Amino acid sequence: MRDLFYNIIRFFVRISAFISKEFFSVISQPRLIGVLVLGPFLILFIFGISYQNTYQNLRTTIVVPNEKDIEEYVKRFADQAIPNIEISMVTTEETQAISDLKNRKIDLVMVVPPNISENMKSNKTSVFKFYHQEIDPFEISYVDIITNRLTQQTNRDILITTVEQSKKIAQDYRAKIQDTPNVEEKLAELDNSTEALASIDPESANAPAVLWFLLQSLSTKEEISLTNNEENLTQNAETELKLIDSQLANFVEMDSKVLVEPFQHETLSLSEGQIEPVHFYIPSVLALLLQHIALSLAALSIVSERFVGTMEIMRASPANAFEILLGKYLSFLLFIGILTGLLIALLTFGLGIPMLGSWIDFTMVSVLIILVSLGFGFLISNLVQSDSQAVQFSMVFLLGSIFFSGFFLQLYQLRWPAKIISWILPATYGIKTLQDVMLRGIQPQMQLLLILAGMAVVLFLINWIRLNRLLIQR
Amino acid sequence: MIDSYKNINEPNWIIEANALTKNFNKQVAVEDLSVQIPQNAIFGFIGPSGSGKTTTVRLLLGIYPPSSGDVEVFGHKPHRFTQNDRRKIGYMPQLFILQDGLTVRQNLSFTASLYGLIRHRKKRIKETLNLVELTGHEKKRARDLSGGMQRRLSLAAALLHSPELIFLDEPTAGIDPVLRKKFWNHFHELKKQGHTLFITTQYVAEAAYCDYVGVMSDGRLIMVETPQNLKRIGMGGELIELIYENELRENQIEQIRNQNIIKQWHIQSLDHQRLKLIVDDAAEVLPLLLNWFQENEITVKEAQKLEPTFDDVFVQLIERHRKNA
Repeated sequence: MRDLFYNIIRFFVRISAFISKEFFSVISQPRLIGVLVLGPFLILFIFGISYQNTYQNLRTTIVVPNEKDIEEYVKRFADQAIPNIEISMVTTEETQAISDLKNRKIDLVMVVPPNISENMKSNKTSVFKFYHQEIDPFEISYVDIITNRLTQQTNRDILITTVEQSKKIAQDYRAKIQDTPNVEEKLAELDNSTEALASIDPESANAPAVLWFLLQSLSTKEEISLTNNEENLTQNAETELKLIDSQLANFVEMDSKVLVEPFQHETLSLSEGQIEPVHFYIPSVLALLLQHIALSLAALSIVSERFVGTMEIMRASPANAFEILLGKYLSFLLFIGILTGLLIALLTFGLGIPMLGSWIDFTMVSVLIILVSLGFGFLISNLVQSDSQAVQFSMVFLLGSIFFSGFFLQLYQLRWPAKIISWILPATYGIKTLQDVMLRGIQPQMQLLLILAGMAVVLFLINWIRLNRLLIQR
Repeated sequence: MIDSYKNINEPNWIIEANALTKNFNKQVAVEDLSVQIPQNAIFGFIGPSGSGKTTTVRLLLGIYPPSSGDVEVFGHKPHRFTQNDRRKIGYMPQLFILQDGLTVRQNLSFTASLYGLIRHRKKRIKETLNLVELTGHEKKRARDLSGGMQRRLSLAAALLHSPELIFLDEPTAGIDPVLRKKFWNHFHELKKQGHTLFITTQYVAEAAYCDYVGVMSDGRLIMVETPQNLKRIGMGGELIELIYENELRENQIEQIRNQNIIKQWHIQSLDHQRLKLIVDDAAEVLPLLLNWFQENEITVKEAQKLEPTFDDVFVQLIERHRKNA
């Protein structure tokens, strides 16, 4: 019984040997700690103070056909402030504009097609052509959004102009209705008005707004002709004319912008706090950092013991593979835990990062990421043949994480085989769960935590078996 | 059992190896090694570099399993040692492989924990540091120590938990003669306290400090003897040197060479001024020789029995072994 008690005590003492050894080995390198804590903080800090949540202003040249009306209209259009568009020039020289684009003097060339009126008369849409020289997929998408917005703005401007013109016509009709002395003449005037409306040139007064007005007024007139076959025709017609006048008045009073764009949008986030752009990146950087530090420390740990020779001391000692591995896990967990605490303190007080969720959830997620990353690190350490190979593997892991963990590409943007890689990486789970905890203030998804825990256990078992084999040389 | 062990009453073997062989792929590192090592003795293991000394130590520690043959330490197969068996063993490897980023104290504290040392930890660390003369250097990082100090730290780590059986792989390599002597004094002190020491060395002269010496060459154990017997066997007898009064002439040299003064003699060197002979018993042969020289009118100025150095003995042994092989 006494022996059993001492054996249990010795078990913990041997584990403590590795906890203190690894811990003191790492903290004996103050520069390393400085780099690990201050490095990420300074990067995030500089990013935070230098990041501008603005988009590129596209320097744009508009090429117009050699048609006087169009050029004048475009010049008027170009004078107004268009978000993210800076009109450099309105010209008829397409070749020169394209040359300027190639020489990076401008960012965008918008070519206005010729014969717009003819196209409309023959029921055809005209197409604006936009040329750019972007290669970054994100910038290409941005240009696409901006050109779409520019086209919509052009369409909207034309619609507003049309509505304004329709209002003038409507006011003329109202004047005529009110000035004409008797009902018969008013009806005759209305007939003339309908014919006049039908003959409106689509070039000067465009269809949509006029169509709206016509539909309203003609449907009313139809009603009048159906009900007025009886003896009270005159009285009723007078009433209906007042109604038309009232509708015309409504139309004239309506804001043309509301008429053209009756809907706006408003986007609201359920997240409680104000998420700054730099805040969005902090959980991702933290997850990536936890993974990278844990993986690198563990990857170098056993391989250096193997090749420096310290493993020989362990082989001759009473410590077994389980104790060695457990000691190393606990030591690195403690060390990285302290680093994370320091980093979080710096981020909280230095950058004011939000922590909308619970610190317990944050701690649980961090511990699991560290454990799984340590597992991968020890696996690398057991397999490689030198320190430099271990470093290279760590870098490959980091590079893979940048592309596949959702750090800068969302997972839905990846096809399935790549998603398998994503879901092997601890950083993927880390980014998702830390974003939930820190920025959304919700509990991390339990299934993700269970998968992380499962991975940690499986990796520990594999590493235990591998280390056991390494301790007995053949 | 070797002749030297006949003097031991009821020997208690702490190590027993029989036909122990270790191959690495097709390379033989240790071949057919059979040895018994009694408790409470200093067993020296001497051999040139690459002769298989370190591999033997690793086989005895259970770091390597044997390719064939049997070995038992404390009555157990080393590669199946329990944690209790390992706690009774101390090991100082040939190279300094402690943590160079840790201080002297942290390294010893690590070793103490590694061996599950619970009681009197601080006291043991203090005593051991004192023993290896590292007191006052506790806070120095191992990487900042001199080569000799690093060896002493390794030795301290091996002795810290007061093990019954201590393997020291070339403990005196690279340290100055004064400290080397101190180490050996301490090894004898440890023996007095009941420890058994298995020490490998390339310094052949250190064989004199051992109770028993095993000579290794090319992976084979040539012999295990006491230092005195090792000299006798190594040289093939005792060494006598005669220095003449006058330089000998060629015909006198030839005369000596052709004479059969005694039954077994072996001329080691013969020139105009001196003669070196290896004989079975110097005390018996010397008067006969002097008589013969007098009869042949050769005046002998000096005649003495020489003590061969262990270096000479070792060279003789290795050369003879290689010739026979």
